[in-house]
Amino acid sequence: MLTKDELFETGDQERIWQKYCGFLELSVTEFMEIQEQLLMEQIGLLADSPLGKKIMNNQRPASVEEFRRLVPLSTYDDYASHFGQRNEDILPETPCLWAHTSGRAGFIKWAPYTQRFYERMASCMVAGLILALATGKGEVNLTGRERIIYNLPPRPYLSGIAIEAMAQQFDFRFVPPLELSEKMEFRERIEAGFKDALRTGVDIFGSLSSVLVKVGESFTEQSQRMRFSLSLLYPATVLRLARAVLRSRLEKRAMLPRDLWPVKAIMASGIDTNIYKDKIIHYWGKPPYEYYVCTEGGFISLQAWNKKAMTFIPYSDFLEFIPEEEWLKSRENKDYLPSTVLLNEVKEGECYEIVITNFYGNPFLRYRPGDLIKIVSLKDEETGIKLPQMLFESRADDLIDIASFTRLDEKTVWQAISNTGIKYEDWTIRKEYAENRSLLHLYLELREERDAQEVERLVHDELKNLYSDYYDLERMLGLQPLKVTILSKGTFRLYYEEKQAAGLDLAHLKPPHMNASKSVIGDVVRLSREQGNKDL
Amino acid sequence: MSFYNLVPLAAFFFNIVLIVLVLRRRWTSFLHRVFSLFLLVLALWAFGIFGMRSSASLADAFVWEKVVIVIGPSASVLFFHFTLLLVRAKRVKGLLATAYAMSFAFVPLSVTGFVVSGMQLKPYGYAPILGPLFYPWILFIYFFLVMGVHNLVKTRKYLTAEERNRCAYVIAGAGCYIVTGVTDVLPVMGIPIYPLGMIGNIVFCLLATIAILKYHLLDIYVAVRKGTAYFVMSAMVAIPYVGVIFLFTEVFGTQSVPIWVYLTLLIILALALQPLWSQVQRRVDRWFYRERYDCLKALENFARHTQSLADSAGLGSTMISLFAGALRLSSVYLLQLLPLRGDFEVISSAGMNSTTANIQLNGSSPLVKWLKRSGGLLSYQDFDVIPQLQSVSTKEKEVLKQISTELVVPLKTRTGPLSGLLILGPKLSEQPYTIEDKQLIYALSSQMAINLENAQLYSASQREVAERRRAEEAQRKAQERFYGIYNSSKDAIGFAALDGTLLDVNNSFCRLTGYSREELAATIKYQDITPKNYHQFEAKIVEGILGTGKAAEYEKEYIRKDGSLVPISVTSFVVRGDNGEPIGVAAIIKDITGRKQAEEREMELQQELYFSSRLAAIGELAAGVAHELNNPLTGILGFSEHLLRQSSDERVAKDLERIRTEALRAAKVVANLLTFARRREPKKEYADVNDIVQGALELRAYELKTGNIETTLDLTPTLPKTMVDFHQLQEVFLNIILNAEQVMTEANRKGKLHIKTQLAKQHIRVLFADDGPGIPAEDLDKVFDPFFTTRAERGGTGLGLSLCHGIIADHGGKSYVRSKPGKGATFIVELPVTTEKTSEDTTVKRESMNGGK
Repeated sequence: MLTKDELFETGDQERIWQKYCGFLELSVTEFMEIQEQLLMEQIGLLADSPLGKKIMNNQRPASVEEFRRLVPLSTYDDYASHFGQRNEDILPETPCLWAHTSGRAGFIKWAPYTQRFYERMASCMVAGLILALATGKGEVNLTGRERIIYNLPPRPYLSGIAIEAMAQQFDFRFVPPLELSEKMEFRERIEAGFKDALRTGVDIFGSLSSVLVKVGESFTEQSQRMRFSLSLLYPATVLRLARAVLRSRLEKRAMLPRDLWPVKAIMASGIDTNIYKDKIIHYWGKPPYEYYVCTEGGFISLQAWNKKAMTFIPYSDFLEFIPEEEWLKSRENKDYLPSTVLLNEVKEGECYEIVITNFYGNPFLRYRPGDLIKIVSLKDEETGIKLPQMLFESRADDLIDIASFTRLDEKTVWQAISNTGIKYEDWTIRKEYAENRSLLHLYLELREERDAQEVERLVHDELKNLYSDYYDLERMLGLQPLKVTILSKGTFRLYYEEKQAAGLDLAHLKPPHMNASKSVIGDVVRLSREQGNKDL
Repeated sequence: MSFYNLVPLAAFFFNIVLIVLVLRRRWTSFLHRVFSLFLLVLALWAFGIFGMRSSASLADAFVWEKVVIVIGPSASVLFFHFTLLLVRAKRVKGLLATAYAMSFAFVPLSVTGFVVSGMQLKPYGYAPILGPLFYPWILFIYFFLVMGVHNLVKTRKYLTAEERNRCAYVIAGAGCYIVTGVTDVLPVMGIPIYPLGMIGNIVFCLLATIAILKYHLLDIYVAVRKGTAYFVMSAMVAIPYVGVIFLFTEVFGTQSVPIWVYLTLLIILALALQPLWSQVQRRVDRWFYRERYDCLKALENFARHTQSLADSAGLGSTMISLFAGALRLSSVYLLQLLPLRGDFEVISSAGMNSTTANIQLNGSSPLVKWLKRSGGLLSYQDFDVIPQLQSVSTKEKEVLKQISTELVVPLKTRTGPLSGLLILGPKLSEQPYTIEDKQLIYALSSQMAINLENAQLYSASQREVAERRRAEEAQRKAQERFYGIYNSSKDAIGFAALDGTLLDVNNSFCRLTGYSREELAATIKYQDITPKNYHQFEAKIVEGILGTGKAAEYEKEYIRKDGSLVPISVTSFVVRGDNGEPIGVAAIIKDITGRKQAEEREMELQQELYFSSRLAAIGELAAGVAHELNNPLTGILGFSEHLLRQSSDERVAKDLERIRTEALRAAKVVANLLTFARRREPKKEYADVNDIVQGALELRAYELKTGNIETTLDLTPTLPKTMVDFHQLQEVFLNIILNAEQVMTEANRKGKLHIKTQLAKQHIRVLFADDGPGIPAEDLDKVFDPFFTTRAERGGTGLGLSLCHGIIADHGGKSYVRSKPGKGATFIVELPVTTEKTSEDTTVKRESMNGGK
């Protein structure tokens, strides 16, 4: 249970900013000092616990260098046998809660949170909210009484835990109220949220970027044929609608969600956020605010008030980075031990696989969450931040190799599809072998009628524009690996319903975008056939 | 212009100046803008009042009054708005908007005359005639003024001490304004009182501006207390003054007292009450400014106690006791740097609630690092706020929490390092630390840091002096020890300048060379006492030492003062000055005369051993050969003689004779071989070597004479007898004489043989010098080798000298030869002078050395 921060009662903006967002003013040296201090404390906390002994090979490193030399890199497999049963005996302290996330193969990953780790996670979340609402340095617009629509997975997913932490600390008004929304099914929650928000209004969105875009698209389409309903007869709703109509009329365009819900901030999740940035601004009137968070490591980085690249947070985890070359070697040879660099050693323009070591007695040590990030610059001139700036690149497992030198990630494929301008429902792409060659097989459900070959050509051209290595495939090797299969309308919806009926976890209700398993693709194809696509 | 008119005009200008000040300070701040707007409205209000008061007619005054009526509500609402912003209070939705709307609603009402229906003349000037809506109007104004004050009072508990101080200014100003505002209304209601509203306006604006611009400039409570104190004192002085004046007028019945009476009385009172004044002032100070008074006393004590650096041990403890007393703190801990570990540890504590807990702060902790960098005070709440401190370990936070830490104060001079820390607990009054407290703490801690640093420097200097003394004493003792060792060393030690001049030598050096220290030091170079043939070699070695810095060991000789040579072993090394540059060469010199002699003896022994073993081997061989040859030779001789006897043929007889002659020669060789092989142990007895020499010479006297060999004898008559085998020795001498005889005869058909005996130390030396052709240098080492002969074709077997050498060796002596080609050769036999007992010992020893052969 978290308590309200008295600083918000006093309203001292300077101190609130310093407490939550002060890390943005740290120098790299100060950042590293904080990291070292917290790491040494973490080693002390973990060294005597059974899990710590196991992961650290019964050693107690006395310095950062020793820690990096003696403690091997770990993956979830190293913890799975204990955390699967939520075994707390092996931990250095009893966790205050267990969070879970989805694994690729359909199993769930559990992660314990100590009280201090949970508090730090909550503190980072507050920092994110402050920065999302700010337009300049030192600006604290968070009152704690904002109206929030959030349509992210509920507890024990991290998103749900973070929301709960916020609810404990502030007087936020959740639309619909948390106690109701947590019981609702995901789609139902989204619908209820926007419906209630017609009356209550909304200040902050906490949502998947794709959901915001879809809601925006459907809203715009439906606003043309809006019908009168009794449910609109609330004075607040009428006023809101009138204002929205007036705005859209004044600007001589169709009504957009931003006319109805002029939000203050959008906390966006998903690696597609950057792709949908312009659309989100168009529909919702504000740029999405991005943050990098993972269940095993809490908040790792946050965007500043300018909502561009992200800055690493020094307090959650000790950060190490596997350079791309080393990562590739370890990918090809599972026994290879890749070397790491620290934040003060990263280089601008380079990609790295991130390695985290939790602080505050949380258990993950030199853990590879499997994410690739890119260091876009070593500081941010615009905001005056003196720390390296990052962007999320992709999931390390979600890359598709073609001809050994082209590695397509989810973001690139997504961007390419989006750039074609084709209206689509959803997609999944997979590397397949047919006719003695590797194929990049894109399964796409459209919301308009298009010819598969035309779509194939458009997506292929966009991929060439976006990714020079893909362009070289054709230019140098004469390869055109892309194959597009148009799925019947409703395929992804049916898939969702079928999996929901089978009792699958929320994270597995949709086919993954990248490298879905053969059986998942098999299901998708079957459902598409059942919907009438006999070509498959 | 009257005072009555002047006051609102002054208020107007005052407000305008304040607007400029406020906007110049931070014109972008919304708070500053709202406050400026409020000041502007007040300025307009003051200007309206000025217009009203200076109007020529009631009608004109009424117009100006309407302006004032319009402005009043806006001023009140703006004040309310300002207070909301100042304390960041939560707003009641719509209240502010409603308030502004209502204040605008008074605009049309003012024109209608419902608020003020007209003007009237009062003794002090114009006054309004109240309309029916005057009371709602005035209530509206007062409502928002009071609401504003309420905002300030309500949120005070959430504010920091500084902010509370700031609010207090505004509350005081608003209070003043409310009170003086009432005096503006009361005369209108018929109560005779001078309208003070405009003065209140000025006071309020002044206080509010101070609050917003420099809220930490002055503690409002201090100002209030001080004012009260002086009021009390003034009253105390005024009572006798007024009493005297009263008495004066009553007793003397004077209606108007002349001015000189007042002045005289005032001077008398001032002089008479002077001691009382001081006394009262001191008491009031003590009463009202208890904390300040304590602080001042504390500073006095502080200065007095910290003057004595000699009391450095108790300094820390005294200082924090004073600290705790001055600020009335529940606990104070002084932490000092542990130089070896770099951590900070409590060395003393003070205060009612202080504990004796062992508190330590890690020197590399973020807290300590931050304090080192910033040098400022740190409150416990800052740990969660300052980004660099958010990594302070839980353990350290817990420790600080346990001792109720409120402030952490670095003890650091402007340029010095962080020498200590003060951890302050809460004040006994449970009040938060004020700005003034913090300023005092900062001042005291700076002073404390200087004092501690001075004390530490003093202690350090004391330690340094003591250490230097100890070091000097140790150095003196070490020097004494060194010179003791230096001079008692068996080895000679010398120190020379780079040019070789001997700068210092020890006693052994003097003994070795035969020079006194005075003769050597600074007058003789080591090259001067070194034979020239070593100069080049040694110069190279010294060059090498200087180049590589490594010591070198080598052997050479010194020329003693008496001219004799002494073999020495030298270990030389470089001596460097303070700047690391070489300033000379030192050497440890060993006299190796004994070692050299031992080496020579060892070599001789080895040669002897080698020779003996070789002789033994050859003896065995010879015995075997002789044995094997004797039988056939006997046969050859027997049969050749038998055939010779029977032979009649002369030619055959001649050949047989030759066979027999050669066989006889062979038999002789065999006999010699057998003699060589069957060498017996010497049968020693006391004998005179001179006699043996003469005996041997006599045996060959005839042959020498006939061979033209001139023989001279130079026998030392005092030669002692020694244990020798007379016959064996005679055989040796005969052999040598025979060899000389044969060599000289073959070379020159004549010669000179000089035989000499002499006593050298414990040896009898016999020299046989001939003037024959000499022995080539390459043969010198071989002459005593068995079977080495230069006369093989003339029947030499090469066994004679070898046999002699063996016999001499058996006697514990040695034989050797010196020769130069063309200048003859000298064979030397040295025999030890031994008694019977030592001779036996030598025999036993030799047998064991021969391994029983």
